[in-house]
Amino acid sequence: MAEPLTAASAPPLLEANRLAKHFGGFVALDNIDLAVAEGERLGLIGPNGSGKSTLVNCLCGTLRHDDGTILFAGRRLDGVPAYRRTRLGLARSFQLPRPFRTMSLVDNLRIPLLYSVNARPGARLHQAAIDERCLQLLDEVGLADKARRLPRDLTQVEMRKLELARAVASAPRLLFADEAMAGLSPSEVEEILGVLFRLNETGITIVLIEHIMRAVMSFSTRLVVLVAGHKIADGEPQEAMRNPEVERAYLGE
Amino acid sequence: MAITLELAINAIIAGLLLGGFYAAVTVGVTISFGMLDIVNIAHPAFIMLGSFVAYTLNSMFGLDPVLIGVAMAPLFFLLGMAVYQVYYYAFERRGEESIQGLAFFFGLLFVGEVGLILVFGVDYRFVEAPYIGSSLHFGFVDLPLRMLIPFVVSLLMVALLQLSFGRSFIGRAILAVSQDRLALQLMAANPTRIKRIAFGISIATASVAGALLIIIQPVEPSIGRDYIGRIFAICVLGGMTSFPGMVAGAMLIGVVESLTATFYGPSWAPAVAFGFLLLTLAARPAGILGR
Amino acid sequence: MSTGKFWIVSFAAAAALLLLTRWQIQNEYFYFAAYVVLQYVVLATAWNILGGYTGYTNFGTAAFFAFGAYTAVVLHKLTSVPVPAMILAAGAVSGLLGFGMGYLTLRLKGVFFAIATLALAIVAQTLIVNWDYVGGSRGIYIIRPQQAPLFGGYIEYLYSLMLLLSWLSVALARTIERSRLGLGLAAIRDDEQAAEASGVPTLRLKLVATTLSGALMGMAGAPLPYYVTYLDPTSSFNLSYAVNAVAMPLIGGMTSWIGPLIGAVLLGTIQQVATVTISSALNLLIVGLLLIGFVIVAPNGIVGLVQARRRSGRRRWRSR
Repeated sequence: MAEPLTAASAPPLLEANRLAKHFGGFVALDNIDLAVAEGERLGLIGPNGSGKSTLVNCLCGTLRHDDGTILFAGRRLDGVPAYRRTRLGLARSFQLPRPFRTMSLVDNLRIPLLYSVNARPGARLHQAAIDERCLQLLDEVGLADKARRLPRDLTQVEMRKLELARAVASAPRLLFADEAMAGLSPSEVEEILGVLFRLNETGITIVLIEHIMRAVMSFSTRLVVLVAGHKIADGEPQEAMRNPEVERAYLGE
Repeated sequence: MAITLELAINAIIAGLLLGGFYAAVTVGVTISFGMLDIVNIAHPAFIMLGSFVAYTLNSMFGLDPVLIGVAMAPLFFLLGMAVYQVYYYAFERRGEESIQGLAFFFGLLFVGEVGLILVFGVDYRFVEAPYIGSSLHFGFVDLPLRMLIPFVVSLLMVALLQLSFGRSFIGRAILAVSQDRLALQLMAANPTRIKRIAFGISIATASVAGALLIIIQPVEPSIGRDYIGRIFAICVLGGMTSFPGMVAGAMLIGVVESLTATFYGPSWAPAVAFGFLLLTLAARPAGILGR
Repeated sequence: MSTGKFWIVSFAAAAALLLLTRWQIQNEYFYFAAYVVLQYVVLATAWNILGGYTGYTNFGTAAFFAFGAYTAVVLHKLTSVPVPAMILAAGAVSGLLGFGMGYLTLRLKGVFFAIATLALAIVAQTLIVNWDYVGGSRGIYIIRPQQAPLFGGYIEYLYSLMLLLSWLSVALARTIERSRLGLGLAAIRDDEQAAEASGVPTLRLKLVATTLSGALMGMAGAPLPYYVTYLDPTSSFNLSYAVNAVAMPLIGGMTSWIGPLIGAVLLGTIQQVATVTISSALNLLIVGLLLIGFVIVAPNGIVGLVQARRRSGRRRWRSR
């Protein structure tokens, strides 16, 4: 298992300070502080309804947060629309895979390449390079032989892989893998986990939001636990799990 | 000054009466769109059908239009269930509700209007009833009965629906479906049957609304178009699922339209309601009372 | 076929059609009817850029179309301007309207957007009804110029312009379809949130689509005053424009540039024939019924049916 590339003095890649979000009277996120170091593998867990998805949505720009600040690579993200955050290097995969149904797998990957990678300052990839990169990405997740097919021809686990590949296609610095393994068999979970490990080795910081404890514990270098919109633990995985509040939340009253 | 104030008060009262009627027109869409998420933009076509049915029976047998509207409601209920069946098999089951569903209802709206033109022609039709033409007077306030009766009937109908939805099994089932479709499915209840009944109820209201419409004014087939935006404006303003909210929205639109027509001329009235809708959608998609 | 080549080939085809018809067909009525069919080619193609490519249903086609017509009326009253210039001006006005509408309504979920477009059409109509300079609700009479700029009658001239406009809109639609913009629009159509998460500037692209769509619709409306010689809000804002603009791409097939073309030619011709042989009300009924029928049975239109047959044919061949 590769060691995370953090130095104690390096500023966090992603930082959220006193992040708050409410829906009418319901408080979904209550003063969340979060820091993600470059290169680390952060696990984000919590019971259903704890605010994990809301947190991810706020960080990625899908939802507008009500209070607090978000910093990515030192740049404030408040008010920055989602597509621009992706271009800055913040990507996410969706809990339920959301492929572009009417396009082939290759075209699915072409979108982030055209609209994120090519939208950044610097050299643009031309048509041939884009096609090559699409096939390369599909190959990395084992979908190269279905490159020209439509998403509806894919199995569950293949859809999850496509979802990850599409997020990676935008060449992110940080990737939110939102429950990428829900409902998969143990061997399929291993497959996805393997993909995520490989991605992290190439330098991508990964935040894994998951319920499958085994996967989270083996993957994460740090663990954050969310319960009812509050962060109740943040630290080394084994230690975080021993926290009495966490035990209560997971093992029930 | 006094004349203007009198005018304004009469306009507001007329607007409230009109708004009450608008509630009858909109309640069906509150059910089909607000609760069931079915974009039935053809609702005005069913209302026009109700108007022309009222006209036909009234001119042939001299029956009271309100009576006709209520008596024909069961038939409209069956019609609504039939339409829902088609909609369900064609779209909901496939999960392709968006453009195709909209286009389906749009086509229905159009076919309805043209169908009525083919049968009845483009002339204005009206009904005869003893109360049309007379008014109640309170000082300078005029309450034309042709507006007052629909106002009362309309609010009665909405109140009845509000009560029965809250108390009866079917009503509560419909509310449940509107709030959590997935949960209902997981509990092995059959949302399709419930939705079919709900949609039937929604179209049944059109029978009454159509009868009320032709009491208020003479109708011709293309009038339905004016109501499309109005209905959805009121539905959105009212917060989509709430009957009381919808009534409040209907009153608001009615008053604004009435004031505009009185002080700026009737040709500006439609723009006002729809302008309202656009601004509401732009500023607060959740409506004035919120969701 | 590459984009550049398509522009040339399609232009050649349009030019050939133009020359052939102008040379062979003397019957005035043909040009009256053909103008309408070509007008629908433009309207259907324009609608499909926002509808089929981007997934946003616009029921307010009449507003853009009529604003184009009334722009021409204003120009006609102010000064004598050649029709092509009116077309450009109408494009600018309706394009601006499209931009404005988009800005107001594109944050809405698909269904609310459709309703808002309907509302917009009514507001637009009310504005015109209350504007006496262009005739208000009474309407306005437009006198055709004595001479048509090219040889032949004035209707033939308008027909030629509309043919050119049809070619332009079809070629443009195909260019968009195959471009980066088209892929972005398709992503928005398939899953807007996922598109946004992939870096697609969804609002910006949607505004491009509404502006372009509106502009083309306005251009289609510009020659209308000279065509009908009497223009009034009731007919120019007629809901039948909205229905046709939806029905033609849907029946033809919404995912490709060829769908609206097929739908417009097919449906437009049927309507022209029916208006003469049966009645105009009945012909609208036919459109409505066809729309409902296709949407239930063949939601991907004629193009979709052809594609499905090809795919099943291929599968049958493969399983031999």
